[in-house]
Amino acid sequence: MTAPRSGATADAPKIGSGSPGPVRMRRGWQRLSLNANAIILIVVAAIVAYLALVPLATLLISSFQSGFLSRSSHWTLGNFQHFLSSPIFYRLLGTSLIYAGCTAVAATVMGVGLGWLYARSDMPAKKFAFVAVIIPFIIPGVLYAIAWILLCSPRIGIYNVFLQALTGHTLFNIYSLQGMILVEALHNAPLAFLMSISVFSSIDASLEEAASIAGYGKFGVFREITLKLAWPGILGALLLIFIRVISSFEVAQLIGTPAHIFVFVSQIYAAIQSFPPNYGQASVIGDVLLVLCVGGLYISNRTTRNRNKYATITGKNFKPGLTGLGKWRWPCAGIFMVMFLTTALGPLLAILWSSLLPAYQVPSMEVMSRLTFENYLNLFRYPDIAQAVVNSVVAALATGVITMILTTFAAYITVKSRAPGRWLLDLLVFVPIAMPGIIIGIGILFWYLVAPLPFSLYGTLTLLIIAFVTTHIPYGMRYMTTGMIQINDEMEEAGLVAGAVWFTVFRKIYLPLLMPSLLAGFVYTVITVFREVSTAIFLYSPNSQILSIAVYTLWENGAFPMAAALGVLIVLLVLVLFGMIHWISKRRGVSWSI
Amino acid sequence: MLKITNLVKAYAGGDPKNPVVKGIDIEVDAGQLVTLLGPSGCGKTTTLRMIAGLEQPSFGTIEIAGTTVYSSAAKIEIPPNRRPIALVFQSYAIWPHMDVFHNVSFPLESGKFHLSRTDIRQRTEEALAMVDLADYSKRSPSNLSGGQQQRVALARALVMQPKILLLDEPLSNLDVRLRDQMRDTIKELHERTHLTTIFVTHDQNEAMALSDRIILMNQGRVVESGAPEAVFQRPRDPFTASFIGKYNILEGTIEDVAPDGLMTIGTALGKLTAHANDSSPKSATPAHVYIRPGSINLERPAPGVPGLIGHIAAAVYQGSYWEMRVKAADGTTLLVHASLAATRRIDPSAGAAVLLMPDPDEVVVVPRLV
Repeated sequence: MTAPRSGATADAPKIGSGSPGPVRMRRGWQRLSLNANAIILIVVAAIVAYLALVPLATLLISSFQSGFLSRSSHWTLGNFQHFLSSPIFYRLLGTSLIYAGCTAVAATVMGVGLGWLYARSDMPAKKFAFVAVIIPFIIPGVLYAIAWILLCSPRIGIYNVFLQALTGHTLFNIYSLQGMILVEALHNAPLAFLMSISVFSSIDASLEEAASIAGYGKFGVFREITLKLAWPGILGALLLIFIRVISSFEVAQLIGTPAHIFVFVSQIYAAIQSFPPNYGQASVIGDVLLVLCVGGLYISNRTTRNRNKYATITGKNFKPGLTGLGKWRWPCAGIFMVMFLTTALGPLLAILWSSLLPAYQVPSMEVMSRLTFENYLNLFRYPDIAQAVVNSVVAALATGVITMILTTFAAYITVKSRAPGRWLLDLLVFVPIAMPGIIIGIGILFWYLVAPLPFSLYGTLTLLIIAFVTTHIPYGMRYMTTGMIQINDEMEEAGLVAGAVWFTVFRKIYLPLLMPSLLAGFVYTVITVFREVSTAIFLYSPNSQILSIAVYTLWENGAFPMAAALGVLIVLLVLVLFGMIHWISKRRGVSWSI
Repeated sequence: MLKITNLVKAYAGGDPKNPVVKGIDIEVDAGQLVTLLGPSGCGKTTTLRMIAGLEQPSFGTIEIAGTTVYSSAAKIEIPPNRRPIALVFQSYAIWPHMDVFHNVSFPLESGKFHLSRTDIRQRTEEALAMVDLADYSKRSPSNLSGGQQQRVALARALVMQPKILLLDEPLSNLDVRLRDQMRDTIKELHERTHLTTIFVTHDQNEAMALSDRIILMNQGRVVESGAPEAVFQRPRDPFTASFIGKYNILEGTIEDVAPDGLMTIGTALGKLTAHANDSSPKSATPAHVYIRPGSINLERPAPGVPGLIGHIAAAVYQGSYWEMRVKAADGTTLLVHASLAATRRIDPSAGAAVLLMPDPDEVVVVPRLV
């Protein structure tokens, strides 16, 4: 339809009715896209609310029930009174805080130090350094814990046996609080490393040069400028690691429990595994964990808000300045080499070694002759393992697809639309970030035990996928909002002006432009599902077992060599996936964060 | 005050045969405001950063106030924090985690000056007052405008009472009106303090307005240096002529020098007349001929009157003048800034024929070394 000029044609008065044609048409578009926006907003918000809030509410309600799941249950504060008045709680609280606190500090100090060397010094061999630090992060938590047990357990640990032979002393007993801290700190240091790299490289070098001109030496500049500017980011990394550690299952269970060192997570597990399950205690601990996580997140958000204030001042001609290390250049690169050998290569070789033996033995020339691929072959003979492979692949792909679809629409609404109520969605999608996998796991477990549904989802793979989607929504959002922000509003407007309806615009303009972010987010989701244990540990059944859980159960049942063999396969798989994400991000210019 | 000898800078990984700075010599007297002028990539900022000590030269010596701060031969390299200089960065580099007062007092607290707390306070307040920021000392820098940040950066430099003040394109991030204002502030501060100042810029107007002396750089070399008027009106190097004055550059030969100093120069365009200046030119010398666009007068060609005839190829109205491209008979295109009065005398439409009359006083003839 062409816009009629008022009075130019005979039917002008009918259409005109006071407002000229073009304005009417624009209103029509707005109404149309507003409708589409409103529908998407309502649907996505409803799904996300269901996923995030229902488990949370169930967990909270169950902690105020006298006998969760039993018919005579009533409202009570008894769970809290009972548990919070017992000394066990305070011992748990103390151990958990010390464990997570020390781990977070150790990981952050390590990660920040290495991150500074990588981002801000003229250290040689940087590509290698990056890979060396990142590897422990790629290894799934279950495997990393197992690997360190193989390296540092008091009698059979490879490091210990070799040191015993050399010096007569063992290095370290992994079954201790220090052992737990060591493994978790090494596993999380790469996270602090990645975060601090982004912090350090966002500091305008001229701020440091200005301090140098102002009369400060290298150390003075680092102390007064670099460290102070990076501080909010560093604190953010510290808190994030704290939250991750206090709610992660693998090390707490695999190393802590055999050493009789209990933290919140392993106590929840024990409470639910006991007979009859102590749901009251599990949910109270869940509440406490939730409070800790929300608190940590709150502080972290406040400090990053300050950091944004800092970020407003950076020079236009930005270039990263590198501090000269002088004669320390190669020794610093040596630190990365040592890191690589002890924290990356060592654990990987330990797993590889034990996967090649019928029964675990410390490496020696004599044992070399007994190396076999039997464990790998056995993996394929067990129907359970084959099922786990299928389950993992299905769960990973389904989680990836569902998460990315949900977050694409959610990101469109929160970034691009002006729909009223989009703030609600913005809030909802980030609720799961305060809920660690283990809490979502219990919440979902509790909900589907009581949910008045016509079919039972308990123990199915569907339930696992629901849990995974919930935990991954915030991460998917991170990819998609970055992608959305990069797309100029005029892209959509140009499409609308060209005469396309809203859905066509979304399909033909947004989706192709978002493809790099979508792919990166998808692969990231797939990788993390392959490694996930904490979320799934309360939800799996023999039929819905996935690979990472299979490694855990094989280990718990004493089948060390097979657990190791399966671990090697997972590492290879994850490496291929990481290669893919790297390739995508390099080719399409997407940055990917963890 | 500053003496730079044979300074070379080649970047690691760069082409070793084509360094960024190719052996420059600069001398600056105390109290002067000197501009390093040149197009981007000419090595002027690199030179400034080498003076500050932020960049390590590959070769040469730098002397500040009689002290060698860098010498490749004597293996001397004094770090930036111990050189008697201050630097105002292009990005201002205001520390976002300190308020305005602490940004300015920070250099005094480095321990280099051995000042008491009250002295630090007093000197900081003086410096802030000097740039009219006395009331802003408690403000956070993120709440300041670009111009105010710029003045904080200036105060931070002045508070150190350096021997040499280095300014790295300090006006380029400001909008036009603020730029003029800041330029005047800098000029005023220099007149008040007589601080030896080195000012890096790619903007010739800034250089003209501010400096006692302009050092023109191109492709890592010093092309020419001198007072602004000299560099603008009597450029010697063709690069200077084209960069600073948008001069038309012709090649020619001095054919005849009359006793009154009037020369006749043969060019591809035809014969030109010019006043001989300082040097005593000899006939039959090849020479560069520079003609400023604004010094060419245009007349309507009259039959029988000899002169250079050209045809207007394009004319763009610029407000106070017309910018024209005039094609001469031999095919050379000349840039002409025709005054409004001139365009009333002629037919300013494209294709029209005009008589080109360069002002003999402003035609610059530089004998070429053969």
